[in-house]
Amino acid sequence: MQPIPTAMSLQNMKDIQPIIDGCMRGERAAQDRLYKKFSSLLYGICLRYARNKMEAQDVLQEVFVKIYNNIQSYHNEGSFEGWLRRIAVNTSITNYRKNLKHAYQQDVDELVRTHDEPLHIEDLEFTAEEMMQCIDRLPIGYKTVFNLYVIEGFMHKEISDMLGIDVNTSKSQLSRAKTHLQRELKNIATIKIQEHV
Amino acid sequence: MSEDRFFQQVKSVMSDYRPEVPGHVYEGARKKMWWSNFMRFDATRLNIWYIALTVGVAATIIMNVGQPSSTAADNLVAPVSNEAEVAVSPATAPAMTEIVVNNEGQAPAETVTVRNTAVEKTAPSTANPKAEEVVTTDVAAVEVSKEAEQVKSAEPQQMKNESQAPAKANKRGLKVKTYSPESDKK
Repeated sequence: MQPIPTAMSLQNMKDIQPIIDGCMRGERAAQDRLYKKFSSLLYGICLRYARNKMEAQDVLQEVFVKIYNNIQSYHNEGSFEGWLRRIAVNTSITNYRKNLKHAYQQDVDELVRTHDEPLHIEDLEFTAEEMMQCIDRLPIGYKTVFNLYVIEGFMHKEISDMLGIDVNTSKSQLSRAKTHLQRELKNIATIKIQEHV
Repeated sequence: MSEDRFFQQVKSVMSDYRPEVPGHVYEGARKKMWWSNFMRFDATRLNIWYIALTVGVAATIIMNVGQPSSTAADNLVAPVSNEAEVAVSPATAPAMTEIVVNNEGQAPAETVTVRNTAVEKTAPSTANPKAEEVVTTDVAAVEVSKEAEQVKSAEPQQMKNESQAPAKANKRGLKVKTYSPESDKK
């Protein structure tokens, strides 16, 4: 079922439509405008899935090449931003699967650190940079499952198909990611409180 | 419930996360874009397929030119030079070909006569390099045509000289003695 477009999203579409049309004609100026408008959003997605900034930048370049080459396949059905996000996520997942061999080693190394009892930090506030800093410290496997489940909204079955892992593995990785992330966030909160006092 | 709250908190914060992109990323993206277009088949722009096609056609042409064909070798005639001798078989030679290039009043630079068996080339009678060239394949025809040509060209010239010489001499005040066959007999 298609989401009902709001007045805001219709206005956004009016702004974006000339850019999309220009990109479909292969105009360089339109491609530049598209990049300026969406590069930071897509870079944020790439950073969440990549191991480091360099890898995220490589993935972002691939994302834009895919967008420019496949923009003809966008038929104004659904949100354009959603379409771009999906390309970024899919490219990031492809990149993750390509480097799966290295990811496994990291996950095993981190397993020993996930026995802490859960912490309650829901009432604390964090900036996107702080949150990103904590997510970045997660092992790549946890990070990927966490991003797909929490931020993109995929189900465990879909995640297991995308990553080629078992559903239970997806669930356990999410649980460990949550524990790990909460611990990291608590550390940041503690430092902030100490600085404030 | 607590899990959902935590996840909602993370989602709401991270959905607005828009970090600044370094400038060199777009240059890299454009390079990748160019390479992608170059490797992709597209009839409307230059790409690797055009270059491969051009190289293939050029290679084919070079290969074909390098190998001599039998018909070309049979019909090949060496250019005429001072030392060259070209054999022309009477059976394959044309009936008669004659080319005369005569630069008015000037001595022939060289005469090239192509006979049925060989090409003969004579040195010029004067230093003037203007050419008179007679090419023929029939010896008898060449000689007859040469004689006829000489007679034709000599008669009008002689008549012209005889008619114009007394007039020119009279203008300069000289005595003119005309020569005629009758006076010679006397």
